[in-house]
Amino acid sequence: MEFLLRPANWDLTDPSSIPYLFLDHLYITGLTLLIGLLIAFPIAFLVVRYTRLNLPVQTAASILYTIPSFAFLAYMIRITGFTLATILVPLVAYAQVVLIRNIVAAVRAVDPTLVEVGRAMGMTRVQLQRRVVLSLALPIIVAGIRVVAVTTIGIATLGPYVGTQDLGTLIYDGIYLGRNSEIVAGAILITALAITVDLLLLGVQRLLNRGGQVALA
Amino acid sequence: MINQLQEMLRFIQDPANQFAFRTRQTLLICITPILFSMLIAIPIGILVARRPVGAFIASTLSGLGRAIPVLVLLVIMVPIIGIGFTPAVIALTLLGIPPILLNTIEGIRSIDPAVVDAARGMGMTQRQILARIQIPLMLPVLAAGVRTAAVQIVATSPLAAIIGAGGYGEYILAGISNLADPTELLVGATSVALLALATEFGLAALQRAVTPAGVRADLPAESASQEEEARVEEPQAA
Repeated sequence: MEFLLRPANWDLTDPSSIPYLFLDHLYITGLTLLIGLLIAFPIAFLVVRYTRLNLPVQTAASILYTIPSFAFLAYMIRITGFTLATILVPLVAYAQVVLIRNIVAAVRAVDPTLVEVGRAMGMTRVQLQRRVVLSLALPIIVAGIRVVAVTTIGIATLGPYVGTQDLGTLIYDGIYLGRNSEIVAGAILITALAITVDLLLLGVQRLLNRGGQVALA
Repeated sequence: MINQLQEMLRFIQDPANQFAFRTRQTLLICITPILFSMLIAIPIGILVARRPVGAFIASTLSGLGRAIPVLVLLVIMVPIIGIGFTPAVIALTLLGIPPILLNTIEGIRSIDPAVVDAARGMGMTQRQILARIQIPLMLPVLAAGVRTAAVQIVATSPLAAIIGAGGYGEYILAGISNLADPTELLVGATSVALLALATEFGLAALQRAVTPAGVRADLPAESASQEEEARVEEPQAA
């Protein structure tokens, strides 16, 4: 507890102070989500289009997911050393499992009748995708992003073990230096971050939902 | 590649590396929490399933359970209890409770009261209803929860080494610093991954085994869906 209150730890000029570790953690999470979505969206749309791809893609993703995070991270060190990539690749990989399945389910959940209506109204393919499918699938996709964000924040805590400093550093240092208050500080901050992000995205999800689930009577 | 595999096998067989001991440690670290979380979560689930407090628990737990990172759960034990086997087991037990509790509640809730009514109408005693209707219907959902919890616990077990509980995580921890020879790291990582896969598939088989034959036919499995569609078409054709 004392660790959080000591002003030296909040010094903005010290790159290893709490605010910087916090931002680093956010950076890693944000980057993971960005890259993850950039990869997941195309794959998901391919899976929706060519249903035969469904089983192989899901199986490959599940296999990735079974690799315990710590083991995956540790193994990445051999390939990418102690760089940012070492933490990013496993995080993005885990994100894919949830994101792909989620986006596919979200797109499939769109009522085909509404797509028909759009086509009847004369919308082009692109318009249909953007205005009908995507906007209806968005709340579910945001729910998936929520899960990925929270899980990523959690796994990113292992960053210091592979050379990337973030909020996990507080825990890492705390354990190896025997400083309990640092461990508690790390635990509190990481949990607070996870819960805040979860609630924020929940708000976004609810907002998108209210935008209109149009029911054809 | 084959060379690496041979190296790994050699590593395992070398008694100095204590592979059997580590295996026992890992199994202990995994099985104990699984059993304890079942012992705690299932009775609570049965008690609260049909009460409003059950819904409250369900929503709070699913939110909390997802937000608290597992490593945090493990390390927070250190200031409170210390390092070693006990805090790891406690943390892993806590990790396993939400899936099992939630699935117990859901399993009980999903039993259609009309079915119980029909059974009572057929003259079944309370005990018969419990044994022949309620438990068999609840078991698959419960098994799914246990499976989720078990796989999560096994996948998190290497982290227990970080707080001094041993197990395969020790190989991973030691292996991280050894950049020259990846054997130790690979042995640790592969062992955990294999254990996690074995748990997943083993419990999946168990789950299928406890699913009553009638319920199994309705499940939208990949292979069963075609039969399902065929069955649905028949009454409409008539």
